[in-house]
Amino acid sequence: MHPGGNTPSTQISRPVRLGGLAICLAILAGCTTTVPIETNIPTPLIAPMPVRVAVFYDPSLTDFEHTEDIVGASDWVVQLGNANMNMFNKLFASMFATVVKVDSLEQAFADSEGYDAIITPSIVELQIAPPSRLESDFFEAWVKYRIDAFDNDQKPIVKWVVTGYGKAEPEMLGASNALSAATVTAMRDAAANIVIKFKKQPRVREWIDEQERLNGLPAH
Amino acid sequence: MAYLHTSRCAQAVLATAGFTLVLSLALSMSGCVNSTIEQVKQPGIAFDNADSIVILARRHENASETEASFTECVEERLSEESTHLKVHPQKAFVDAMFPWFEPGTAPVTTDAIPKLLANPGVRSQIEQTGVRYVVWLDGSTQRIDSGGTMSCAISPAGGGCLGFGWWEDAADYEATIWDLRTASTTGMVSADVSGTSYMPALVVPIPLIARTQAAACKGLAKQLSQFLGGAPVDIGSE
Repeated sequence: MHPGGNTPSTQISRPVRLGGLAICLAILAGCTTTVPIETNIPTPLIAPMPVRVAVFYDPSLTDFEHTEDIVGASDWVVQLGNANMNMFNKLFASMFATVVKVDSLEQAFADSEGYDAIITPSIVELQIAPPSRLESDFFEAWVKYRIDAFDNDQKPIVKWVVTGYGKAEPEMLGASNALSAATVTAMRDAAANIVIKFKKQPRVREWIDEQERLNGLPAH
Repeated sequence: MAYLHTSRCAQAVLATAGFTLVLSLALSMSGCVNSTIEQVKQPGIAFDNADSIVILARRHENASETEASFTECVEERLSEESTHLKVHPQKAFVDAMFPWFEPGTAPVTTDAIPKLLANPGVRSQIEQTGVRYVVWLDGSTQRIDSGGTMSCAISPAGGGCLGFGWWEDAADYEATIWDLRTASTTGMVSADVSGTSYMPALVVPIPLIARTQAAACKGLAKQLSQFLGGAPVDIGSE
């Protein structure tokens, strides 16, 4: 028999439990959950602007990853690169009459006679807020893109920042799925804003009118 | 030995019967729900059943936006119960109309409909979907009060809970019906439902859940069905 009626296993179990808990927390804190984002933005229902554009995707957009540090839990790495590419490919194909992808801005400027404009989208930031941080029931996401457009004389037409917001309920979807759903909704919101508001930017409107005059098309 | 065997069998049967009885009672009982369903209809409006309707949710950047599950519930109930109504799937409509019915770009008032239809391709796409009426859902279900205490304990000999808890939910929803052809509001249906759920616990907690949101969904869908179907409308409280 053992003193105090305790079995050896009971005496050992407390430090083992504490140690195990510490190891688990350390492992959990060191873990990351990768969340690749996939979007399926519908084809926009708009009339394309009658211009030929070259589009350059900077690697900072196509390889974009965002790491969200969660205190006391595993971190999330949100991979947005492919989704960005797919989204902008679909949007620009509907927004402009002719779209050509180029490998660099230099290449586009060197061949600028072939295009009316050179466009390069970039991502400024992605913010994620899990429910605990906001004391809400939702995962929320904010995405901010910037669209730089140059004319074929390499002069800037516009530097336009556009945002998108999305949220999703974690109870129904689970944490990773809710995070993904909130991000996809934010991207879709940004996409809708790009399609509708890009050509309404005063400088873009002036430039489009100018192109329509040059090409002999009626100005809107 | 034969007596012992019979006794164990009887105990097992009694235990099973007791458990089944408690379970049946818990399932058959629920919390209290009070519903008020109201509607306003423009005079002289006749709905054409050849046209389709679509159920859409208003979105807000705060916690009280209409739950996706509620919109799906109303859509499903209308589709199942109203054979005279053609309900167009929400997602298919919003995708087909992208980017014009997104949370940040959808028209907020009927005054914006002519401008929306003037955009290239929008009118023909709406005609292609067959949708004439848009039902905008707005509102949410919120926990408005709760109370009680409950303690649970577990030991090698077993476990159990003792106490009583309760909570009250309020579901306030409004459905506004737009006619895209006439660019006007044809009516409005609202559902105010409150429900109190109880959880008494004597060893085993027995949840008596008030299905507040489900009651609001059922009431709103029923009223919408009557409203759009032209059937006699039963206005009042349940």
